Amino acid sequence: MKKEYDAIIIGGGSMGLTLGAYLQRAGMETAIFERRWEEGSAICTSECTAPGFLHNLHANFCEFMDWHPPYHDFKLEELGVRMIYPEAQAAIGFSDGRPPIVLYSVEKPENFKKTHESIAQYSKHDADTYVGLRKQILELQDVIAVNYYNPPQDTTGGRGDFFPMLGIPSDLITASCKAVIDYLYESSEFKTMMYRILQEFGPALEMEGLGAMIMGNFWISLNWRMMVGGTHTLAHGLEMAGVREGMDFYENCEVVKVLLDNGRASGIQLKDGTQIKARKLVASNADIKATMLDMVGEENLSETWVRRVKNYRIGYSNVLASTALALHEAPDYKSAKYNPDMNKAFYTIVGFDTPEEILQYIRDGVSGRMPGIAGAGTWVNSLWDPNYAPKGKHSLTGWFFAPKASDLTIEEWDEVKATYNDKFIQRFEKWAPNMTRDNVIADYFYTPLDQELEMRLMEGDFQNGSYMPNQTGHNRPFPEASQYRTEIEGLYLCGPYMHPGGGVSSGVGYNCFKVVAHDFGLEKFWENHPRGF
Amino acid sequence: MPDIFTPEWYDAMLELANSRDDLSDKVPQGEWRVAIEIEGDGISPYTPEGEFKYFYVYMVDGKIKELNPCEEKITVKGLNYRISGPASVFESMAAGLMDPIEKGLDGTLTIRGDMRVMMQNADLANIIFDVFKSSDLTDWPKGMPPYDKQSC
Amino acid sequence: MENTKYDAIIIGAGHNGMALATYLGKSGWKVLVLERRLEEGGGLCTEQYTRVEFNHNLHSNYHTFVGLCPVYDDLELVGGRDGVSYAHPPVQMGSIFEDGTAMTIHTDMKKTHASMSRFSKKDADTFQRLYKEVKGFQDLMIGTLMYAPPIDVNDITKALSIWKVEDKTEFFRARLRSISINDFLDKHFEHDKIKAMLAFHASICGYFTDVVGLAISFPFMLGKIDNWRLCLGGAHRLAHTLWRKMRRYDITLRMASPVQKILVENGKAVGVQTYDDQEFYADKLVASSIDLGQTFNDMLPEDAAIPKEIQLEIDNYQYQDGSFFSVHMAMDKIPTYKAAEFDPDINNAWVLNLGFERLEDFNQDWEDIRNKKVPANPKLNVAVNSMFDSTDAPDGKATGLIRVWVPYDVDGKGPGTWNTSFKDVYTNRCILKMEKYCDNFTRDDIIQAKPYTPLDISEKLVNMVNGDWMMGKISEENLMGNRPSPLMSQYKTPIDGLYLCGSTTHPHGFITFGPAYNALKAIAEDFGMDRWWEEI
Ligand SMILES: Cc1cc2nc3c(=O)[nH]c(=O)nc-3n(C[C@H](O)[C@H](O)[C@H](O)COP(=O)(O)OP(=O)(O)OC[C@H]3O[C@@H](n4cnc5c(N)ncnc54)[C@H](O)[C@@H]3O)c2cc1C
Ligand SMILES: Cc1cc2nc3c(=O)[nH]c(=O)nc-3n(C[C@H](O)[C@H](O)[C@H](O)COP(=O)(O)OP(=O)(O)OC[C@H]3O[C@@H](n4cnc5c(N)ncnc54)[C@H](O)[C@@H]3O)c2cc1C
Repeated sequence: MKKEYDAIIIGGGSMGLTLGAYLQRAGMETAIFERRWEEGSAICTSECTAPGFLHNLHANFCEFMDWHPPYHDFKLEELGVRMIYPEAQAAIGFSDGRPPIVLYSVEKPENFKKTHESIAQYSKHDADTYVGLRKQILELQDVIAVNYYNPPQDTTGGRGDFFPMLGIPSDLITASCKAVIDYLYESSEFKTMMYRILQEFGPALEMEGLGAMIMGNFWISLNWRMMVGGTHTLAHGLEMAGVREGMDFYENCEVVKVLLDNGRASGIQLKDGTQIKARKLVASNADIKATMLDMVGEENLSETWVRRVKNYRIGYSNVLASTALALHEAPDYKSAKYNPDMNKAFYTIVGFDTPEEILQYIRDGVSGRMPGIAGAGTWVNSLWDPNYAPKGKHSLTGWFFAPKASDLTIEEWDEVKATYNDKFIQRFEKWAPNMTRDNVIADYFYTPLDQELEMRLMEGDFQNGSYMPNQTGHNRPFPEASQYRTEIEGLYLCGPYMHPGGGVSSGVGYNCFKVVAHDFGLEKFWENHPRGF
Repeated sequence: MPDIFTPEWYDAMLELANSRDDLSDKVPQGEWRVAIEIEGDGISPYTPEGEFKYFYVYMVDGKIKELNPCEEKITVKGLNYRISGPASVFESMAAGLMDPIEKGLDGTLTIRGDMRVMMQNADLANIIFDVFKSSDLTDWPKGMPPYDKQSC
Repeated sequence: MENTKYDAIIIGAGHNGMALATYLGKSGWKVLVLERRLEEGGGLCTEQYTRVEFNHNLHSNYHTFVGLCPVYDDLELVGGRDGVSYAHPPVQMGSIFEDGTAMTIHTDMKKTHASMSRFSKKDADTFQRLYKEVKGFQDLMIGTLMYAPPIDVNDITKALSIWKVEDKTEFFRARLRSISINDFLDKHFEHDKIKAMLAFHASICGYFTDVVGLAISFPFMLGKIDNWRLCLGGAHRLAHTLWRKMRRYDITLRMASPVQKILVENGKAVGVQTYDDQEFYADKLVASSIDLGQTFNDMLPEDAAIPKEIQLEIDNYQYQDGSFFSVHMAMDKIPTYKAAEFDPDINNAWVLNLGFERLEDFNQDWEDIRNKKVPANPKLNVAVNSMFDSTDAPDGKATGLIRVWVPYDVDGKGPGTWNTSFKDVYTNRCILKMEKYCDNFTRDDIIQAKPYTPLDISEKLVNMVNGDWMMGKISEENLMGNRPSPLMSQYKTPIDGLYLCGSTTHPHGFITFGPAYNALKAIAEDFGMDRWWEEI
């Protein structure tokens, strides 16, 4: 292990890997120190049910790939990273076998017609509105990307600007996302679908002040790609991009301290006592509280920073528990008799018939109990990619909205782990009669507590920091820190608790790189880049 | 006969080896390069403790073309074998007092290189050692192993 | 445009495939490695199998060729920029016996001798002489017999006789070729427990102790009885290291890319096709590190010119009689043993034998296994890595491993039984057995135990046919120049440009790197490479 680098990154999650690759390419000698034995953290894939069955327990939907800067800048496809873009992107079925709603990928213009037809079975108005909006977004998407892949401009991260363009009243910017959905759509079936999608991929549905966050959802939904052979292959690709540039990556190296020299970040210390010097900077992908309060230490921070960091909210929304099932047969939904695509849709909602059920479900979660209704967003990647399951078998993975890790005791989580899948399967059977216990070869349940312990996604919050009105845009994580710099010179933050948040976007890592490049006079290659960010 | 480890001694060894027909019969055709490393062990009077003597053997089609002492560790390209061991052991073998195979087996002599070829040509090894241990090959100015005290 | 043209394509990213790739890449070749799974490493596999934060080595746990195998040095796999670190536990192995006694093998030979002497002074002395004798020629022999393509065993025997080796050693005899490890032990040792300890060592190295002919390898194996090493952070870290090395030489590794065809033109292998019909071309060669069945029967075109006698050998290729059943445990604490009263060192021993008391115990199990019966009374290999690697479990907790020798096919009904609740029953049986030996440790100290069965092995690594982790029987008919078949033992196949570099070739499975290293030699000769790694 070398004793000195230009740049040291604490944590090899997707954002740390992104930053590392760019820094090394820009000529900084860079090393990443990761506490786990694997790179990529939440972009992971595991055979948690049985050998040969792959499950993306965290990120499954790779929606940013059209823009994702490192994917293109480092030619990750040459490193073996590949994607599949399923035609039927999202679907909801119903327990009484009513027709499903299926939304199709935006890649092909003719798909809008199919999407429209499907929604129109329940409401022509909703179909017009949704398809109209989604088409407008196609025009705007590259502009949205500019907001996303730059340090934040305003409290909404630039997202509020788009409401007037889309004909959505501006006062909804500060309402809740639910209010926006209720304003836009009328049919119970479609609202059920929209509520669920929103909640899972973004902000708390009913929280006032987050209306503008729905833009992110408009933008990315129906852009969902699947990584061939597991989301984790993207982590492999990102690490190799950096290593090919000459970066070093050390796993099983927990960082316990950021070393300071005259108030400046000058290196790190590992759990085993080893110290490594950073000539230019230290950046942390690790959670913000651990970074600032433990690794830097309260005694080295101003009162304001200590207070801000302590007050930073983690958890509430953004907390998911994952289920994984190894199956003999893929689910065969009652609703599929109206549209066989129901059985081959990427993001499939099961277990909810009404918007009220979704609301009840979310309210359970935010009130600190596992939802009484065991419904989930699910996917069966083996339908497209044979790498996901042994021949003829299938792997299903899915998410439940869940209370945050500290809401339940360890024993209570153990209880949930042992029982909730059964509850889910019982409910599943009402939507897809072949989903009996006998169809399940093996199952696994992954709790928010597991996520906190394993990935240090505190509270199981997949962005390591809630989306709340005072924690988005240039309020993220708090105004003084929003530009990726800290009050410690030479110490930067690059975790998903920064703008624009988590996801398999590389956004935080890329934006942090821009700030570092500015501070150290590195070439700003993006300024002349045709993509505009 | 020349004193051991003198230039004349190397020449005499070369001649002796090349005069043995059984040797040229048994050596596989082609080029063979062997490095010998002798480490002073505080017993031998010829190589001071901690210092090394190196010599290099180059054979072509069963004939030795070169047999030379070298100043430094031999790093020629295409070396086939490197045989190293303590000086007193080498000298004892030259004096016919120790069996090279035995020393190889107990790890005193280390041999690097393709032992498979060595095994396939097992006779050859015996002949080479036979040449080497012809004690009449040399005069031992400082005394021969096991070195009686006075002569050291 | 994606790159599809390479100098060499390697099938499978186990340690062998990756090592060969790295040598070739370091030599300036453009290399592609295609791996079926989403992770590189094959048998170098670490997962949080029981619970988050508990790292378990699902396959290789003991790396016994560190310091003996040239690949670690050539490719700088230990220390340095990308390298791993190994722990070398001072108390290497131990056996605990039902009568409360225990025996320990140490890195310090004096202590091993002392421990054995408590059972039999005579045997302890014999062992010491044997060990010393083997150590003398260990490097030479390992270099010759493992890290070089195999030679005719008759050449070896002949050389030994010309050099009169038998007169110069006490234990090394050509006769060992015709006896079993048990026979060897019976001849030289008197005490049952010492014989059991040594036979256990052989068993865990993959050698069935009653197979005639294997005694010939036994002395070398004893030479590394003190070379059990633990890859810190999990065996998978070695895979990371190899992968990073590959990357530094710009070698591409594509995961999730099962190869389904080897492309052959005019009798020469020119590339491969992956499951998704993508084609990749190789100018110089294709090397397969996987099993013979996939390589020859599934991947080659039907009209490929495989001579009948070779095809017959491929079809008759023999696998080991048994496989491993493992129990992985997340534990509240590190177990200690009642036998510590007899020998306190047993609490610090890494590779433990709980159950084999005498050679008959081995024979009984081998017989059961050959009759496709799961041993009713499991004999355990137990290892608690957390004693030497604090990163593999949360602070204050520990991970543990139990391994048992079992058949793949149960009762002649195939491996399906391993997918039933029987695996939980057997897990319990193993834990109960372990509990018997512990003093402060009960099943309640196990937070979670999860079995990993022979069927799991072959599902995870499809090349480990029959769950055979040695990838081919360890017997005289299947070793050295007979592996995988007399006509293909030199890493070449009847298809020009198609090489073998996996554990079906000499020497065998285990984390040896031997197959890759030797295949490299064959390749270097064929392509006139500059052999930078063969610095002599
Ligand atoms: C259940 C779930 C589902 C998700 N689904 C999707 C999805 O479908 N689509 C999508 O786009 N996104 C999804 N996400 C979000 C996305 O995966 C994460 O937001 C994103 O990966 C987080 O960014 P990151 O990897 O940089 O941060 P992290 O994953 O938090 O990485 C931080 C890294 O720092 C390391 N670290 C922490 N402390 C230390 C220390 N002291 N020393 C050294 N290293 C340390 C951690 O081990 C970790 O590797 C999901 C997340 C979850 C949890
Ligand atoms: C339970 C268990 C315990 C073990 N314990 C030990 C131990 O303690 N010590 C030790 O040294 N060894 C141990 N081993 C043995 C060791 O793991 C193997 O012998 C070794 O990993 C073999 O290495 P390899 O590179 O030849 O093959 P592998 O490691 O099996 O690699 C082959 C690779 O090829 C891939 N592959 C298969 N088919 C295809 C295809 N069609 N296309 C592309 N890729 C493909 C596989 O996915 C795999 O990654 C153990 C094995 C098991 C199962």
